[in-house]
Amino acid sequence: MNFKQYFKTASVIAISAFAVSSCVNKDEWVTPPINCNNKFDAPNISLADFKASAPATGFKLITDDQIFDGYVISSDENGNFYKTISFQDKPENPTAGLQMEVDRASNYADFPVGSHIRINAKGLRLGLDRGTVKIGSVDPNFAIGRIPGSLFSRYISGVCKGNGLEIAVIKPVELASLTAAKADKYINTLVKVANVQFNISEVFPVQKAYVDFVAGAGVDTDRIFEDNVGGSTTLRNSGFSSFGATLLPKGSGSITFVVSKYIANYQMLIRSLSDVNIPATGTRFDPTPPKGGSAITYPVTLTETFEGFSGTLQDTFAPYINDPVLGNRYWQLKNFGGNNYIELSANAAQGAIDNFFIIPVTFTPGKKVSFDVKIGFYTGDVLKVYTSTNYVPLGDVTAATITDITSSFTIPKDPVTGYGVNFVNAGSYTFPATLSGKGFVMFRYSGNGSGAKTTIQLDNIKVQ
Amino acid sequence: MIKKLSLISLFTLLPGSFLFAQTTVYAYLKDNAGKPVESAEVDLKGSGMAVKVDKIGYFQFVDLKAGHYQIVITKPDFETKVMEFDVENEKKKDLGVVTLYTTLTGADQGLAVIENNGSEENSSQSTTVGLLQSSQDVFSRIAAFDLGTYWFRPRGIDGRTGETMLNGVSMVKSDNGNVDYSNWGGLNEITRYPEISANHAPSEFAFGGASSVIYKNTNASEYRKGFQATYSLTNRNYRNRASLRYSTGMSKSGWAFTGMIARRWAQEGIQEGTFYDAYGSFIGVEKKFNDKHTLTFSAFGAPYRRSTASPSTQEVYDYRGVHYNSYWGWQDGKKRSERVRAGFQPIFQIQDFWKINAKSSLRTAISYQFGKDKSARLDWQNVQNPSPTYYRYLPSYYDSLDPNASVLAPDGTTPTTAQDAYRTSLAGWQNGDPLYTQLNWDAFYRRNGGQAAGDYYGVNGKRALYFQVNDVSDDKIFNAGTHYTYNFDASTRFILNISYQNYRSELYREVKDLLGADFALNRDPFAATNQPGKSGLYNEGETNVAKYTGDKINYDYSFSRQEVKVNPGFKFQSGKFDVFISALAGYSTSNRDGKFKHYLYDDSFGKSQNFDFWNYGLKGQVLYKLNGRNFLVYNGAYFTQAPFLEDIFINPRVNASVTPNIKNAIINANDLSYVLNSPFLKLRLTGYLVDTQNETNVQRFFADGIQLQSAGQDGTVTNVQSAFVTQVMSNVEKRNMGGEFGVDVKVLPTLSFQGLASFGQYTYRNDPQVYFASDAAGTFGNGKAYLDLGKAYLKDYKQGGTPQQGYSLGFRYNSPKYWWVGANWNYLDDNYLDPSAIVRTERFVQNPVSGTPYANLSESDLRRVLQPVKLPSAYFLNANVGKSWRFGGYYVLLTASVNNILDNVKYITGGFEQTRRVTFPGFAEETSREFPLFGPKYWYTQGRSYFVNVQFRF
Repeated sequence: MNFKQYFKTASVIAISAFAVSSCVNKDEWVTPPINCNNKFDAPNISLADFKASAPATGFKLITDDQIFDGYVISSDENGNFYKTISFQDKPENPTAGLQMEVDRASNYADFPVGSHIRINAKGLRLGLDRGTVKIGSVDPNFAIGRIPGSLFSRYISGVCKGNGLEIAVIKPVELASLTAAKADKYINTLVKVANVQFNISEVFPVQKAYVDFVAGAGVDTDRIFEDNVGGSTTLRNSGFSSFGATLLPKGSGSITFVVSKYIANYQMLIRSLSDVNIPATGTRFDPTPPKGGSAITYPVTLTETFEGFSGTLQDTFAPYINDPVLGNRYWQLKNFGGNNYIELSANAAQGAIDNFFIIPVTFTPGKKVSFDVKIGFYTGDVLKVYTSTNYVPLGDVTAATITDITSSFTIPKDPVTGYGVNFVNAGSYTFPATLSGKGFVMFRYSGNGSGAKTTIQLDNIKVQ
Repeated sequence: MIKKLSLISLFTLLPGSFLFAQTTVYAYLKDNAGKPVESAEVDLKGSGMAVKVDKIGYFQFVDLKAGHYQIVITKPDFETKVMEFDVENEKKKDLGVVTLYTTLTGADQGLAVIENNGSEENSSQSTTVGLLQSSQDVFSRIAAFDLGTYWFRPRGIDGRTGETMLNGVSMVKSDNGNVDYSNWGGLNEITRYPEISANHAPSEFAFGGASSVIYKNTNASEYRKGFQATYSLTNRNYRNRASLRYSTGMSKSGWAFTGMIARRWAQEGIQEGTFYDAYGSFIGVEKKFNDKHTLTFSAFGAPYRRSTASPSTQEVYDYRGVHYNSYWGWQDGKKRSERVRAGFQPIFQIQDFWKINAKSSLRTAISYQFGKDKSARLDWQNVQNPSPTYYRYLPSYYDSLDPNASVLAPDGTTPTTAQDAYRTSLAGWQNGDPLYTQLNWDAFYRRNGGQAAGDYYGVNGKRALYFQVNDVSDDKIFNAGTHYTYNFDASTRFILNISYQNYRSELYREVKDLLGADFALNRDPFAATNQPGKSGLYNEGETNVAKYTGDKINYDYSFSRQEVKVNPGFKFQSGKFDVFISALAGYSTSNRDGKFKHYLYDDSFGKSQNFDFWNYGLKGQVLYKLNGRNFLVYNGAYFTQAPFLEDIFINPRVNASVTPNIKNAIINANDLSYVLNSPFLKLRLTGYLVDTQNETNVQRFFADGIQLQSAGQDGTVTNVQSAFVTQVMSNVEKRNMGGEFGVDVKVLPTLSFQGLASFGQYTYRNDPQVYFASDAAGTFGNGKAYLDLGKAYLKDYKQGGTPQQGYSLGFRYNSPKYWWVGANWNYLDDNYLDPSAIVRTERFVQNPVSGTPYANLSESDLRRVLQPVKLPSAYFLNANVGKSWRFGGYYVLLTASVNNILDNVKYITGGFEQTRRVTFPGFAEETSREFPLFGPKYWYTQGRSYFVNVQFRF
């Protein structure tokens, strides 16, 4: 009995011990140790030299080990770069940039911006493809093909720093103008330009988003932005970019971008919205600033025949303000048959033309404003007349309260070809009792190169 | 301990008080072949009295006083039998012939589930339950044991239409109608030998449905006294099992205790990279106050952790075999799984047994279950799907880009880039390079850690590109039930069952592991492009969008349901007829309460209205005794079945939208059997017809890159890059008909042969209405959160999920020397994939751009691409052997079985058609590929498996 008791106890203990002590994966994990070993040998050529070896046209196949380093400047995190990686030879003051074509997504996860990479180009093609020097794989259909995902790591590797991938801070090249950025030497480098803003047509009258949506789906979209020294270029935004629905900022500031080129056109690419350092609202510089306004007098009565001005295509009239809001066309002084007048037309313009010719006056109830008009090549109504009392001379006319008085005038709707024979009087508008004190009469041309582009000639503007 | 307690010694041991009693109670014990069973132990509960049965199977208890008694008859290799009887003042009471059933067929199964490989992507697939049928029905026994392991489901009936009861209350969960067998996992010795009413036959305990009613009480006194230790070795999802049970038997003071602990575990199961660690524990206490009144308490606790295995496309199986699992990767030299399930939902039950008087008795039960069940999975934001079997990572992807990629370049020529890419990928897969075939945890940590910290919703840090989440269900289930019987006479009985269930479950996702990142963002990563201009936040208005480990993310809602069922039954005998009628009236009320305010759905937050459903039903059984051995049995059932919570709410994680046309299913089931039961020949021949109408079928799955084109006249296209989608079929009509034949012939007292044939035809009978919803699509042009796709042309398609034909032939040799050997051959055929409904709608052929059917679409093309996917047939050989020994008070049982001896790994146990390319041109392109990128995903049988089991009793 003792033995049995013992045996019983022993077997219970043995089975329990075995059952309890057998160890099964605990599913508790710590961050694994990170080790870093460079996969490729040390570089044997500089990126700049490698790039310079590209043939002037077409491509060549790299058949020996050509190893060079670069620093990643692009990111597909937000979808604006897609299946391409841009990199330059140095984190700052780069001398060359290049891009690699890959058939692979989420590259930013492996190579975030600043990653120090090493490329062994043996087996890849180097060449000029639609305006840009690229490397990629041999492809039956394209000069530079996308490297398949399964082959990607054969050609690219990170460079170690300590136990991990070296990630450098990329300092963009700061350029004074957009025109300067549009140079081949900056392609696939990171550039920053200050004092830029989106063109007024992108934010007025409709504040557009980075990307247009067609039937709910984003499409690749070009947006024009400009600097304050007369230059402008295209910001290219992918329809798949995650910031696509964000509205363009209205203010002015700086933009950091990767310079890229498609055939002959420069297209600048941002990595994320943090590359756009422009306030959503705020002051804009005016790339087509209002002209004139240097001798404003606010007369009670006025007769302007433009005979006192001279100069071919003169658009600066000291007592008046000539302010394009959309487009870059000003009212210009013209002479026909010895008669001076001003003229504006949207004919052959790129996009919208919206311009105010502003005449400061002192409103006196009972006085009338009248003018003569002549039409050329009528394609639609483009002239409107307004009054305003809160416009700030040379300020933002789109911010002013304006009152439409066009209906008081009769503006001819012909001829559709050629010009009217003579100026005709458009009628008059009597200032009402509510309108007094300093203010403005505004002639607004509102047309479009691909829409109403009627030529308007104005003369004999009177307040009496 | 009782050793050799002869009747004479028993007599001398009787306490004096028993001398006043007068009655002798006796019976004969036989096995199902009619042979006497000797040496069984018979315990008279609560008396401390026990006797041993003699050589001719006779036993008796002498000098019993008037009263109510229970005896427990136990013998190794036989099912334990509990009998109740009343002693009045008769001199002798004959309990007649008591039949004990052998358990040697499946020494250690029981109320256990055949392990589901488990995938949330396939929730429509119901679990197959392999039950130890305590009924003597020869067909059911073979169907469960031999065919059940190969996912054969008798009659093709959804297991969700059954009822499983433990200690007087239903264990069916209200969210989806499934029973979670892991709640008592490993406790087979406790839960086996339930009472079963097969198929739609009426039961005394519950109305049930079209699959069986299974009832089990776990009274502590009904287990064999002493210790029982079991150890098993197998090569299935777990490799080891050990258990220890101890029962006191009932003491003289009326107390009985039974306790059991069990563990099943594997460092790595049969599928690569899966582990298994499941405990089971049971405590049962029984107190008999007097002859009329007994109270039991049962507690089950089964904490478990295990990882699951993936289904794969045929391409992947061809490279890596049937044990391949894409859910794991190496980390720190160990295999880490992304899909870990863990849960602990203990159950506490009290049942009161009250014998009101000689004719009536009442059982009352209450039960409470609570706890969490967690399923982990890998999640990712703003990066590509990291699964190694994502279609872009497979060789077939390169072949799809360039059809010449898989062609070998002639000798001496340089392969093209495409050929190089294909071959590099192929070599990686064929050589099992973990960079190709498994998850790369190191890369997840590296990428998470390599990102620059950023400002996100007021927090600065590194957001997670990859992170692990848990889908949690936190349940609180209260049940109460009564079972009242009134016996008019020996053969006429009235039964009334009333049950109440209060079900509440909070379902949410939580961050499990950030994999080196600082936080994960609670926003839809695809919102920026799919839903431009919307916030993309899963919970608008919350201040803490950045989520840390343990925080709720993605979705959070609760389900509640209360249900009352009243089930009267009436049994009577008339001449040669035995009749049993059972009726049902049930009421349930259900709602959803959203805790998150999803950016796309206004109704995601707050309590929904209540959805009330009434159920009615009638079941009848008529048994006609041709003579003592030949019977005709008819079972009929006509009832309605209210939808479960997951059927009512089309997409409950994100909104409260209700399945359109939701109705109670109507089930009309009939069968007629001829049963022959003689000592030498047992036979059952059955024909059945089960019609289902108004059924709602909800399937949820992960669809990567599905294109949903909204019906809007403006041509609005909703591209959903990656989303959980729901497909709902309503008004489904199905017919399951067929014949069953089971036979058991005893050619020698020691040798018997068994055969089974099941020939079924399970089809769709109409063209159900199909609706489609996606987590990420938001409200469609129709103003609803789902698309109406019209009819799916499914009429006459075969239902999927089970072989429709099954055959088995086997023998068993039972040596009188306490050993046996058996083997059988099984054949399964006519197994289909359930047809995907969305590709069989009008929309599949209509080009939304042209407004016409797709160009060059012929009926024969359509027929070709939409033909049902028939899975291969298969046969399997199984064998089992066992022997038992007795050394004094010790009893040892050793059993071994091998299933699928020939190691057939070509048999597909289940799968689903991938729903991604859902228009004809895309689908046809897929079907014509050598390796479809989005081919059906399958689960394969796990190959040869063994199970060795040793059991000690002392």
